[in-house]
Formats: sequence, structure tokens, C-alpha cells
Amino acid sequence: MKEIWVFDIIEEVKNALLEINVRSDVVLRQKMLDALVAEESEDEGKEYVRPSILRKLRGSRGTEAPSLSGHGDGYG
Amino acid sequence: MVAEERRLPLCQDTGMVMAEIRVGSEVCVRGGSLRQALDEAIRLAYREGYFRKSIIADPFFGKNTQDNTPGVYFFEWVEGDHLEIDLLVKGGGCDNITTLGMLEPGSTPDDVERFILRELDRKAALACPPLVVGVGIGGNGAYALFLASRALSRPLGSSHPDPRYRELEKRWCEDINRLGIGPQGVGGRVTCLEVRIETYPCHIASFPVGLVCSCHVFRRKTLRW
Repeated sequence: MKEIWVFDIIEEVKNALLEINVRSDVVLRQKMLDALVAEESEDEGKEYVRPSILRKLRGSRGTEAPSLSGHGDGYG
Repeated sequence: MVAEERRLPLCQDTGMVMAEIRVGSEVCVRGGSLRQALDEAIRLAYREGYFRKSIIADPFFGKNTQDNTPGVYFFEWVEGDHLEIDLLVKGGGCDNITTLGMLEPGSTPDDVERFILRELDRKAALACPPLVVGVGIGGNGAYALFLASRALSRPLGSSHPDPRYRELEKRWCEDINRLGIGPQGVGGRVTCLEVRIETYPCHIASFPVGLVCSCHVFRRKTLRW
């Protein structure tokens, strides 16, 4: 049986909370930088992306899909 | 960078702490209960860090608990001699767009995608995008939301082990970005950083889909003993 003391758990969880509230992880920073580059480099694309996805949003039957089973507008 | 150097919170909303705890069958926790330990850790961290305390003791009649406790905890008992805690801190804004959809049995990936796109088209701007989007499919209604939360526990950059779901995660992320909502909802190409999917068997007469998102300040960490 492995024994773990709550004092160790408290210390590590406290330190983790202090860290993640002030420091974003390396992958997140890179993704945000990539997002910044994407936003700044392709301004002309902003206008045409949305209409294409709105067709998908409406669905193949032209309705505001998806249909939901007895829950009105779909809020659970 | 500024927050890290000056020990300032990344966002003024330092959120409610959620933890998914996996306790091995060969583990004995000494000195108190895990729940008390986690609450104490939150209490100490939010005091020491001067983080905003955002929790009220009762939704209708409560006052601020003054120490950001309690957290929200999910316990699971597993085999082995280890203890794992997935910490996730989420602010109120992104939690407010949490949605449960009970779709028709036999729904397809395209049906689920339309549900996600429709919800995010209405709400994503309220949740401080770019978002990390968790999608829980299956189980029952309550479990689908739990699965969606659990999906957010995966580290950034990790992909689903099943190539079919990996492909859906990639496609849905691209399509969410085509909504044009953009960072902080002011328009742009990047509304979503990642989509993660978690699934579970479900009843033949149901098709629950949980949608849980994290804002761009994606605060998570896994601890292991």
C-alpha cells in the first residue's frame, strides 16, 4: 500500500494553482502566437469564410439543423 | 509574459477550481480527507496569490465564501498505486456557454457538428475566444457534460488515440474557425484552438452531447503521486 500524506497533496496542489493562474503553458503560448500571425497575415480572407460555414450550419435540408428529440430549441 | 514576471493573474476571473481525481486501489491517503486537502490547497493558493475569490456559498442566499472554496471534485477509483489529479480552473464567462443537447438517436457526426456550430455561433463571443472546445458524446445527459469537461483535461497539442475521432476534432476545429468570430469575439480567423472529443456507450433511445469550453486562458495541470 502506498501512503500519501495530505500535507504533500496540499502543497503541490497549492503550488500548481499559483502557477497556472499566472503562467500559461508553452504550447498555449505558441498557439496564441500562431493565431496572431494568422489574424494579421490574412485579413482579406475574413469576409468569405463565414458564408461557407453558414450553409453547413443550416444543414443539407436547408433547415436550422440539427433536429432534437422533444427539447424545443435544443437547450438541455 | 507580464503576468508571469509580475506574478499577476492571467485573468481577473481566477475562476472556480475543478479537479478530477483518480485514486489507485493501492493508495492510502493519510492525515485527512482528499476533499479537505483540496479545499485547503485552494484556500492557501488564492490567499497567497491575491487571486479574486469568486465563490458564493449558496446560489440564491449565499455570501462569498472569502477563500474561493469549495472546488468541484469528481472522484474515480482505479487500479494501481498512484494518485492523479487533473486540475482545471475555469472562469464564469466560458462556463456560461456550457450546453447539453439531447440529439436524436442515430445522429451522425455531421449532426453533432451542426449542433456545436449553432451553439458556438450564438455564444462563443461571450466566452473569451479563442476557445478550447470539449465535446462529450454518449453516456446520459449528466455524463456527457462530465465527458466534455474531462476532454479539457488533456494537455494542449494531444490528439485523440482513435484516428476517426482525431479527424473529427481537426475538421470541427477548422469549421468553428470558419464562423469568423475571432479572438475576443471581434471577428477573425481563430475562434478555436482545439476541439477534444470524449465518448462513452449510450442508450439506444438517446444521443446526449455535452459542450464545455475553456477560454483562451487555458488553466490546467495534471499532478501525479
